[in-house]
Amino acid sequence: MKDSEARSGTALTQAPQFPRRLNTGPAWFWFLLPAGVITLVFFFAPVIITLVISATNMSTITGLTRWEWVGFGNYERLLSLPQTVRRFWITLRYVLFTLVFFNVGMALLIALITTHIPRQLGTFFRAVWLLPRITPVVAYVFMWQIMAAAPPHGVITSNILEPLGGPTGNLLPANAFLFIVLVNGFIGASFGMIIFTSAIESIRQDIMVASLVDGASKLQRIRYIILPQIRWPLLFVTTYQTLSLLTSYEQILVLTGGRWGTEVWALWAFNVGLDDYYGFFQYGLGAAIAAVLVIMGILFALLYMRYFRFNELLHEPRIDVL
Amino acid sequence: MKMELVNLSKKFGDVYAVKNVSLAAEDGELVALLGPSGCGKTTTLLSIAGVYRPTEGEILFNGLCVNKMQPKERDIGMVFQSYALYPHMNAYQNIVFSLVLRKRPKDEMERAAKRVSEMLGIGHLLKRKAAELSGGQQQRVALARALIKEPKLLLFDEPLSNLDARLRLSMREEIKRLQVQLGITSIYVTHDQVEAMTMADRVAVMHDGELLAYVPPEELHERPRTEFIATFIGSPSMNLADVTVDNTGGSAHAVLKNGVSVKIPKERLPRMPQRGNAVRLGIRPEDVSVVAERSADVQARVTFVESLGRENLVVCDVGGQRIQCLTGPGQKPPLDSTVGLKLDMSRAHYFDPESQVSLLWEN
Ligand SMILES: Nc1ncnc2c1ncn2[C@@H]1O[C@H](COP(=O)(O)OP(=O)(O)O)[C@@H](O)[C@H]1O
Ligand SMILES: [Mg+2]
Repeated sequence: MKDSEARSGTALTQAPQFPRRLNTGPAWFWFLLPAGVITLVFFFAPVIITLVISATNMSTITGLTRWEWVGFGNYERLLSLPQTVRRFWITLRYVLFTLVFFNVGMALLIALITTHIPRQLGTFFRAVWLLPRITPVVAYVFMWQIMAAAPPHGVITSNILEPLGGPTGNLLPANAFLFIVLVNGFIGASFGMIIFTSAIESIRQDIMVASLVDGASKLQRIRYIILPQIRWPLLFVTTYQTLSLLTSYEQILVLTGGRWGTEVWALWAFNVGLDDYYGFFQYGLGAAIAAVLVIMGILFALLYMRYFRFNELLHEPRIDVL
Repeated sequence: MKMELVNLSKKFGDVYAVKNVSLAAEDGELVALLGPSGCGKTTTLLSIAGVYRPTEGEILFNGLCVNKMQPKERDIGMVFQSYALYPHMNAYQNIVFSLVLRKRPKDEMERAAKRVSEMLGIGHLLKRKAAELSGGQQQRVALARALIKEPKLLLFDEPLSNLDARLRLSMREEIKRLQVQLGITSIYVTHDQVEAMTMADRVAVMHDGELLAYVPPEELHERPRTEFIATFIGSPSMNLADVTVDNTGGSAHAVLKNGVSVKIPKERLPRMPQRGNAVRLGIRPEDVSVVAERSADVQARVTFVESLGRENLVVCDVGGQRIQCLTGPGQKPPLDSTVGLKLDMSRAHYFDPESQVSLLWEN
């Protein structure tokens, strides 16, 4: 240990002589400027504008000129609205189920299976899972609507349920939640699938072999080697997909329009702020609803960082003396 | 444990990576698999480990065919060139991993880890992750991980190739000492002939997937069975010259292309190839010496001199024939000078120029 102390001692006395020069002058400012401007304009500005609007009573009635500041008025209203709690739970359930069963769960399962079978077969299966993502949303959702429709058009009803003597109406109203999870899940799984597959395939071959020689079965190898090795991609996909699911509503809008208990938070913000049937758009309240999403997103991200023990991914410097 | 390969072949696609290899390692023996990069050493080792299925042939452990056994059933320890420590585990977790998989009790793990880490002098490093260890330390951890299972067979895949020269030397000694002390049958893959010659009880020389020789190290050097082995073993490598053997009149001579002839001692007279009397003469640089011109066998011009530290490498030209020789520290003839060379023909080798098989030693 004396050795390393000695070394850090030298480093301390030498430091001011050489690296300091690089930090002087405003050069760093100019280097950061382009990226900084882009970040400000496209990432921070929308958030700040949303927060600002959420503090006003702006709507189609007030227009852009006659609005007034209302402080936390919109948020207080949100808290008092009877739908709020319900929508909160719908959103949480929707995000959780889609994430666990599809965007991360199914993605991981496909990645694991397709990397443990012959290569070409694996590539084929993964290609199949990409189809929902490359189909236009409207066509894709329309397909699901046909799937759920009542006979004679409904795929499930006329081919499976009717012959068996089951219920024959449109399946969507009674099972709307299940359908929005499926519709989003089948699209969402391919993202994680691609990332997990490439992460698994880039695990060093020697440690894969070493684990077999150490006596691991294929399942044990997944648990003790593969999963820990793809912890970063897992964290990334989980975080990224949570945020996407929290803010995405297009498929739900097209499939149910938010009816039958499927109005998730983002769709609610859209409906209140930009899509009222009578043309009464409440920009202020809509912005407040959206702002809650931003906060939820940040909370989730922090939670994941903690759970995946971000700190442990960094390690101490090595000391090259035996 | 005795390990045997019987006509082992392994194909990748249409290409043989290992072709018809047969050898047996006796209980407690250290066998080196020696050969240039890409000759199929790793493939052979991974077949023994059970990671690859042999395409043809059998692998026997104590006479029992293990072809169908999973790696985990084979009771082997393996050490890799890249160390292959699990990056997300610390040294201790790496070492006891095989026991964790077998769900052994914690105190047993701790005892076993203590035993092997003391044996390897890494007791103070157990809490570190692989990235926080130097190459030598990582290799010790990897060795501990292989030994904790008390394997019946140890497999080494170029374990020292990534270490610096000095560390390589001390680790070489240490691995050999441990192997002898524990008496574990070992297969040691290397492309470094010095490593193979110093550590192994027997050396298996591989080339293009085939086994060329399987003999003790001394024999490999002293009695090479083929021209490839003769030139592959020894550094700098053996001089080769096409000669004709003139066996008329009482004594035999090797006649070089330029007419210079050197006497062949009776006890070192080669068999003649099937056709003619043209053979390839091989003589190691250490068996050629620079001498005064009157006692020389041939006259040569010095084209290159290189100091190797303890000795000098002198490259000469004998009428168009290149001959390398090793000389003592004081002996450093100037470039372009003419010197006399004495060839120690009692240590010469002869090969059939067509089949490249030795004309001295039985195959
Ligand atoms: N998994 C593999 N798939 C296809 N070819 C391989 C594979 N492993 C090795 N080979 C080929 O087999 C030959 C022998 O390789 P290897 O056993 O790694 O040689 P060595 O360890 O002696 O350097 C090489 O030509 C290599 O390209
Ligand atoms: Mg190799």
